[in-house]
Amino acid sequence: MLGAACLAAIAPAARADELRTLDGWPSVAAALSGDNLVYLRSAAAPAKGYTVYRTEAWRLPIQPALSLFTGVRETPITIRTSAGRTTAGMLSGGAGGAFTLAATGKGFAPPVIWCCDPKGDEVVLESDSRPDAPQTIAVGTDGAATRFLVGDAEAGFELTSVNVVGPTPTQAADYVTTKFAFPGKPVRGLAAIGTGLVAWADRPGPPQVSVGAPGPTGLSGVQALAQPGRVLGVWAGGTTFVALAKAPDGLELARYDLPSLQRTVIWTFRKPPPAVAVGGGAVTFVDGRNVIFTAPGRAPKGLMRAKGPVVALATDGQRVAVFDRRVVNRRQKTAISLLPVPAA
Amino acid sequence: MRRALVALAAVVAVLAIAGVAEARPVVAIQDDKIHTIQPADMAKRVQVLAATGTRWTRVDIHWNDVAKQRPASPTDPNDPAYDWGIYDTVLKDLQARGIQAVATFYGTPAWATPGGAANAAPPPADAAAFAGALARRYNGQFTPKGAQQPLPEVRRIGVWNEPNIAQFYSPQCRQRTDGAWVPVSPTTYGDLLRQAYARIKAANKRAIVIGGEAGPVGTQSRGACASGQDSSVGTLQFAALLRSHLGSGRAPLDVWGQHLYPIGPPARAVAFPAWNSLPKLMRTVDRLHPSGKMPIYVTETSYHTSYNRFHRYFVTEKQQAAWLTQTYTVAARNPRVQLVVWFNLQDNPFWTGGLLRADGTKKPSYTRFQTLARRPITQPGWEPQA
Repeated sequence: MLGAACLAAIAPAARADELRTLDGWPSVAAALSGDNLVYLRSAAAPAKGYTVYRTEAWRLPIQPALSLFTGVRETPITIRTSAGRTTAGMLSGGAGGAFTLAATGKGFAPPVIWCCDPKGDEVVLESDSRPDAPQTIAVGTDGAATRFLVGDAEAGFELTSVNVVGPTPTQAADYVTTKFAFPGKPVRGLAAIGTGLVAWADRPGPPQVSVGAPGPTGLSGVQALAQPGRVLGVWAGGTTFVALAKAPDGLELARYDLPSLQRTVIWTFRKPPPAVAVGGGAVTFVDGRNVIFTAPGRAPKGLMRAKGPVVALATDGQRVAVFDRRVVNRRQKTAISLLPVPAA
Repeated sequence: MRRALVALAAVVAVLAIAGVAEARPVVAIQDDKIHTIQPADMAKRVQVLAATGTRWTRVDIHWNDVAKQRPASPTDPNDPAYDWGIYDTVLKDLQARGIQAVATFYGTPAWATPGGAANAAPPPADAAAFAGALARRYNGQFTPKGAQQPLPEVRRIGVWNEPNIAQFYSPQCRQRTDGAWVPVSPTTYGDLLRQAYARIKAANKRAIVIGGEAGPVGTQSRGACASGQDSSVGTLQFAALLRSHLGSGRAPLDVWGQHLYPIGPPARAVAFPAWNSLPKLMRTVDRLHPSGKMPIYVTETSYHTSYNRFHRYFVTEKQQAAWLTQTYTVAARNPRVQLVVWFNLQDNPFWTGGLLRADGTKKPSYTRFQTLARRPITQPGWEPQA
């Protein structure tokens, strides 16, 4: 039972174990990293005659057993610019609170930053001021490496891998970095990086998703996976990736797992979902305001019905974080809910 | 009578215009990696600097590089423990290209403090002795052994870089017996400044001592020292506490150095410290100057064109170019600002405020700077060398 037809069967909104709110309706990207929820919050701060746009990376510790947010939020990274409006950004959770982000926006090439070295300092992996600098279109974590895909259709693409876990280098240049030409021509939203995989759809291109395994010198074992229609989105986490593609009866969200790469349709939408997250073998997504959890061998399960539009999701297979926009006492608020995954 | 008044008004107007011209700050740029260049490549690097049109630069002199061992006679620049080699080369090559230098010394040698950290607040007497040696070596009359000519004069000497920031000067704060953290850097720095001033003046009576060179730290919203001993101390609070510590009488500085990295356009950025809030700072430091009007050197300013971890605010290259021009226009409105140093010549992974990208290509700001730097210097006392 897939898609809108089964929404009525979804359980009433699950109680959030803990809920916090952000002021306003910023653009948000989220990830789980060990026992931490990490999110990017992007918004404008208008001043007299000019505007400073901000993207802040926030990290909240989570108590593992109860999934409660504990302690104080910290902001290990704050990006400020007057170059152009910042958008939600791209975020990939690592281990133990580590994460990689790309701060996206109009008018500048996204800096790629890894947080953090053993001293707690951020490491800038990519930062290019040239007006025609290539764009970062995907970031991901693969064990000890953080990877990001940079480029455009004209100049070509390059996949960079940086071994950020190891000794205590003080400069990004000291990390073991490998780069190689990437064979695809995706755009942002159509490429995703997981553990031992890069999945993408070319734009323009045939209705297919390609997947390959990044190695020291290039992608190996590239396979093309046929889709029922034009590909609209690709997400990855761990050894799983999902693709959203047009199909005769709607938009199909299909799941693939290494190494089998067998196609499993997990949901059918009438319109594109506002948020999808993949992690820990689980896939969560939003249909309307219903947050739905799926995992191998389990029927899709409704986790909650959000009170407002969902703007970001994160999951590690054990927990799901939901960000939705609400109006509370006539004020715009973005609520964060952290939900335990229901037992099978 | 009326005609006389009109004539007087015209004269005043002309003088005012002339005054503005005189007040125009010196346009300078720093290459913070210049001391890392191999001597054989130095002339080529200085040529890159000279091509910007600058006739003034700022050179960081790292005490911990010059004095790796404790000198037996620390005020004597000839002490065998001192290795001035790279700085002699830098200054001679700059002079050969018609570029004069303002020098700032900092960096504590490992032997000077128990912990051995370069950012440790040094014993004032040790740092002052080095300042004396530096001022003597570059007083314009010092000829090293085996040389034919005296070394260039460096008349303007800055005492430490950003002593209100723990990255350069630590501790910033200490814990009182009641558990509260309070700023300590203004007092320890005041002691250092007082002793260094005496040594520098003894070595070169014409020397101009730059104090402060304060980092751009705004008022702390959570109160001073909220993060313990390595909190930064807000520029204004640092200046006020330094003033209190130094007390009445002639203060041991001739100029206040300030670093400005505004968030927003130069004329409109209001966060402290910025060009618009500079008068507030000046009111605080004016009482440290016998005239009641402390001259200001802005020994660092720039706009970064991509994200880096030391300056988390960036603009486009086009904005940087426009705001560079505006920086010097805004600075010229304040006649007390005598020098504005653009920091830095070339980008590196930690600093992207350069006129040149890391690969050496020119940003749009390069030609803007060149245009400004090539104008005649109108600031008295800053004329090009013959």
